[in-house]
Amino acid sequence: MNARFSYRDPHAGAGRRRLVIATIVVIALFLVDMVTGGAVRAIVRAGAVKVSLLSHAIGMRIDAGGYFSTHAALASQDLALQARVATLEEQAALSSSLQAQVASLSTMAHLAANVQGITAPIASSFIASPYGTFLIGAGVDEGVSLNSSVLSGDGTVVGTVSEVGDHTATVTEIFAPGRSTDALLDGAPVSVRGMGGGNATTQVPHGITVAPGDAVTAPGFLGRTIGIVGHVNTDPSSAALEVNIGSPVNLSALRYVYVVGPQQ
Amino acid sequence: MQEYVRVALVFCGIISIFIFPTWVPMLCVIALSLRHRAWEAILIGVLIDLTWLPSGNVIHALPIFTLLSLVIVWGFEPLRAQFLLSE
Repeated sequence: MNARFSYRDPHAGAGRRRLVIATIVVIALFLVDMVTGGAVRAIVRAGAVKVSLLSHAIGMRIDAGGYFSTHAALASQDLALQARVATLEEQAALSSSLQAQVASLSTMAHLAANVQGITAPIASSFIASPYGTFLIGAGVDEGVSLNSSVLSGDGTVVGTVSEVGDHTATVTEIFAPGRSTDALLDGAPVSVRGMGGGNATTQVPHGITVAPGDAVTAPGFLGRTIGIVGHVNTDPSSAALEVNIGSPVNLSALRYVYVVGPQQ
Repeated sequence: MQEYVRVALVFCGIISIFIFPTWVPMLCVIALSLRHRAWEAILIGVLIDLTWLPSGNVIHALPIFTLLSLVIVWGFEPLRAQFLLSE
């Protein structure tokens, strides 16, 4: 018996060829992106902004529709009252959203009275990026420039503009993973290292008085606040104090940011 | 049926790039790579980096998730070649 049985599919070559082509295309795509100075990324990010805004709108409508309410709550209403409640909830959700926008823009107006800049909407999710970046809905056409400082309504530094498109820009958070920022803590110069998620760490020598709640400012951002001390690890055997810093800004609740020029 | 699952995984993976944490699309990449020689898994990794990777020098701007998806897709190739009957 001449058994030449094999579990290997004799037609596997086509799938492998597709993978090789896909690998080559990916490498070529990144080379094109590097040569063109980010043209491919600009196209992808423009699409990302649209998808993000659409998903946010769909989520709001689903919440307002009451579809996920308990079965008992829905069963007790007749069809006419269900439609009426859904309409009222949608109007209330829209009203709350508008009120939140007005409150956010009011803080921006206060900041704009002292510093010239651009108010830009957040156009992406903060949790989706693994690199500590997010997108804003303003670009070159709106006056955003590279390395501009991005502030919250209270004037706290949130990040800097790392890439600019026509109508969108990519902002790298001040505490993005691996990012180092020169700062002042209780008058002592320190280097703050970002860990992502609005957290950072630094080391200060013994003798510097540091307590939770102390503000961390950055001379490179004209002395603006970049974070506050969250926890101080006091280990007498260590030559320095390990200080954990957090951003005072609730990034997930941020709807608008204020973009100012690098020298402002 | 398998093709429907593949299409659903690709769709979920691409949409989750913009909405959910990165481990969600990477789970889709792993699921796709376990069953198929899925070039779409590489596409998902590329889209993650093209969307979120900031510009900078090569060391700090390494497309980690593109490389990771390539490693996963090609790394599962011996497993797929030995045990799977399609593609």
